[in-house]
Amino acid sequence: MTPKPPAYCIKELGYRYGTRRHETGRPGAWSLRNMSFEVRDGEILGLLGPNGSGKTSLLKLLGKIMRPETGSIELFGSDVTGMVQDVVARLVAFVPQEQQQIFPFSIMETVLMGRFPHRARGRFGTFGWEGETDLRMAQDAMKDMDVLHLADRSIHDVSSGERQRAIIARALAQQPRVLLLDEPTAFLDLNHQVEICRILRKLNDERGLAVVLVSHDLNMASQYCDRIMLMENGRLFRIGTPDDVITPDALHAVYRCDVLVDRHPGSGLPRVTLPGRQMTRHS
Amino acid sequence: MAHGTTINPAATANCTTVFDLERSVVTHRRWLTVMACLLCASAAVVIGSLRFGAESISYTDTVNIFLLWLRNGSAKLESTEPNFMILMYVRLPRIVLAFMVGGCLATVGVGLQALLRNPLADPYVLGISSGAALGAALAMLLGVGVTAMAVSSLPLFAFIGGLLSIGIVYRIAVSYGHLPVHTLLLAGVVLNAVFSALIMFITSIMDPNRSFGMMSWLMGTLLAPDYPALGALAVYVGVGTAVLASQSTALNILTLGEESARSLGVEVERLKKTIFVTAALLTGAVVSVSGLIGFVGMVIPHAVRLFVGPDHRLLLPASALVGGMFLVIADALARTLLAPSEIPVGVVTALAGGPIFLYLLTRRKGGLAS
Amino acid sequence: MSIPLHRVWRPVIAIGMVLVAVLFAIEPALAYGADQSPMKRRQQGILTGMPFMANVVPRTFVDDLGRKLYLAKVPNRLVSLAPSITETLYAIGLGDRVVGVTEFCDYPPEARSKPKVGYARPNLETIVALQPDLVLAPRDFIRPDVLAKLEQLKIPTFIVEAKTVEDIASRIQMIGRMLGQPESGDRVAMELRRRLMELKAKTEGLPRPRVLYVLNSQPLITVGPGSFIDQLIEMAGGANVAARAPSPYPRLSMEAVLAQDPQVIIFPVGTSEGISPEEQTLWRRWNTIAAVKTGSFHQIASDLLNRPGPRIILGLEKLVEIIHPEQFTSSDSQPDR
Repeated sequence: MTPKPPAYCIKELGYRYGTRRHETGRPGAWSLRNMSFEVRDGEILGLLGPNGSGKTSLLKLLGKIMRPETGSIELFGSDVTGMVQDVVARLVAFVPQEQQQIFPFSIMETVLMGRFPHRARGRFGTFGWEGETDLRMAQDAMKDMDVLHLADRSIHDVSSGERQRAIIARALAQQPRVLLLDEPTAFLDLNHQVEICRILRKLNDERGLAVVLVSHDLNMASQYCDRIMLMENGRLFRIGTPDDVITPDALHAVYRCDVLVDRHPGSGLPRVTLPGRQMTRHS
Repeated sequence: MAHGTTINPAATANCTTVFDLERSVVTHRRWLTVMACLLCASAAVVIGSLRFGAESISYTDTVNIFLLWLRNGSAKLESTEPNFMILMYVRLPRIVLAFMVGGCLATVGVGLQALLRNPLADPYVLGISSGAALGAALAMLLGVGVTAMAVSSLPLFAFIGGLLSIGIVYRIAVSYGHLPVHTLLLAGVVLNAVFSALIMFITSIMDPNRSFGMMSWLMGTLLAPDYPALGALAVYVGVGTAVLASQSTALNILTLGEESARSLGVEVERLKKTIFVTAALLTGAVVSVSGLIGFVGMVIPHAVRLFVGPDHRLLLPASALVGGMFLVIADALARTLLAPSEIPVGVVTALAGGPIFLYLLTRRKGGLAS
Repeated sequence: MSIPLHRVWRPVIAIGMVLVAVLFAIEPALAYGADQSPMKRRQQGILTGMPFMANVVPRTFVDDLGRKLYLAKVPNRLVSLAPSITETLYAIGLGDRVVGVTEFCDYPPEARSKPKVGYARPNLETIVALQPDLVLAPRDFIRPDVLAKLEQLKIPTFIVEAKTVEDIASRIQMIGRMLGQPESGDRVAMELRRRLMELKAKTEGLPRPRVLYVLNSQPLITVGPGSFIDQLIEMAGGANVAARAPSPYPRLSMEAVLAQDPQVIIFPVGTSEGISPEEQTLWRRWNTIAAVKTGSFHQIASDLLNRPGPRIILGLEKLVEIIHPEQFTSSDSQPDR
């Protein structure tokens, strides 16, 4: 059986600020260097690492939101630089960590924006009206993310957690094959955190949706990701299953602290615990 | 999904129980309703303002004049009836011009507020208007505006001034194919400052009599050129507005921020350049013809957004119509209140519009962002 | 594969917009040319059915912009867009033909009762309603778009400009001829010239006192070379302290004034005001200036100097009186207004 092509094939990827001349200042230090890895079709990959390790930059490069300095990105076998933004958007959806909304669009309008890449082409510019399919997709996505009851509320009138769920619904409405999420659980209540993970797993099972998510939550990554990539200073430190990566030595090397790593009693996957009060009082 | 499919109520019957579709989204039906209302209102305002002016012409006279005009085909200027002349050649072209200028300024305001992601942006923030004003000031300094054949040189000079500033701002702001918004703003601010200073310098060395005329032109003037020129301007403004309107959906998404817009498939750099160039060309043309009429471009989009929502597919055309109506009313006031003297239109727009807008703001809290 | 449609239409639209813009700019010139059909050659405008006077020869006049004005008959209804023009018309005796004036036309007093059409922003509706045969406008003040609109409405407009006192005299004559009162016009012009010669004779060979004309106090603006009043000062036998300034209406620093040390300071005033006490106190601080030492502060009615019309000679005479008071006995001096 021929293996499916990987969702992403990254070779020698490098990125730094300031070399694009529209950004002021001298070229900065490299925020990503020599990254080479694959994202398998239908897998959930977690990106972990301390602040400044380049996780968000990598995510944005994968979504063709920023352009790399060196290296290549192949999306389902085709080079991303040759693809029009539209085409990329039909395959990849990006959920940012925070979003400022200047104008008070409703939740429904926000989620419907996710249907933009699927609009009919070539008529009066980008002008068009949403069709039945668009509405249905949007409703399904909102139902999945439990924001359907907020559809006619302005996006300014909801809590940050609800707003985050609406943005994820928007990404789902794009019907992507890959979902990129930047700290998706950051603003959510516990029940919603669990819910998101459950939904991601469900979409992954049912539709083969590949997911790349950046997180600070080591345990969530451990429980729900197929593989984890640990980054440090813009370089790939280690990539592998949670068993391979969530180990005390790896965590010590990258995060420079000692933590307790044991097994989750239910799943058997690694579980990270912060050191107890007595453990911290050592040199 | 076919383009332009109207939303079938049956298909959404099961969801209308959960939320109100009409309230949450701009549907085809809502668009048609709002636009139809605004078009009727515009017609009413235009017809109503024919009544106002330094010379009072009763409604019966107005109707008679129109019937006369229709019956005789194209009107001949040698017609001896002064009311005819006033109505058809002085007042009507002025009203039409006011509608076009107001609509154009409002449209440009909407586009720039989306481009710059700032609800306080207005058509003059990019420096194009001061370039056009400088062109006009130079024309008046050199006296080229008032010569035998070239009595229309004034708008041409102003337009060239506007084009030059578009070139300068573009050149400063664009780098490696990108048009970063903050550089654009800075370039506009700097250009405004430099050109305003140059205009002040020209005022200081000019004959005080002539400089008075120049200041008076700069404060906004709606003396319409003749009908062919009005027609040409209408085509120009129509094309520009259509270009902006065609990008409405993308404009919606652009307001989310450039990164989010890219992730949703919008070609951000191309869109920004299109909006900038179109807005700048429209602003340059409008200022060349009518001087600097402020307030319309910033506040009308705001006010309309409070009522129809931020979706540009409806916001853009609605703002155009409301802007047109607003300027027509302001101009009617400007030419009637202190007849036979005229108040500069820019003064009336600010004095009338400011309090109205404040009232709107206090009534509808939460209409503005954050 | 051909270029997709959505790539093509944008540059096309851009080019189209520029083309339309150019079209819009040159179109009035085209229309102007097209209007020169033989039927429309007369810039008659609004004429009600006046009987054609067989003994009047149609005449063409050239105004100060080089525009040709063709008048088949003597214009009867006149609109004046400047106070100087109004004064000229009344001086020639055409006051009853004037149907519209500006709100600043206050001399002679009869002019105040005429209908007003505006000044800086002439109201076109009012002008049209007055059905003028001729509109006379000053070159310096007319706005290009107002002029364009008047032309478009086919209202004959004649632009008048006078840069020297001699210009004023010849314009008075021209206006007289244009309006069918050549003898009247000539008489007024000759009187003007005669009094001018008298003044010249009076001030011939006299030493020139240094004169400062304070157009505006804060900031200090005076008249320089190229301005009308500078000429008048020279003609009145004075030496303008700003004679070497770079522009017609220069701002002077107090240093420059102190360096020049004027002997006479002249303040233009309106109809009812005099030189305000604050103004005088301001100037008295600089007690090194000759004018302050001798108290030579003089006022002159600004209308007399700002209006290039028949009363300019009064202004000139007043200037001479101020600058060379020794030449005037009480029998020679004319009343101000």
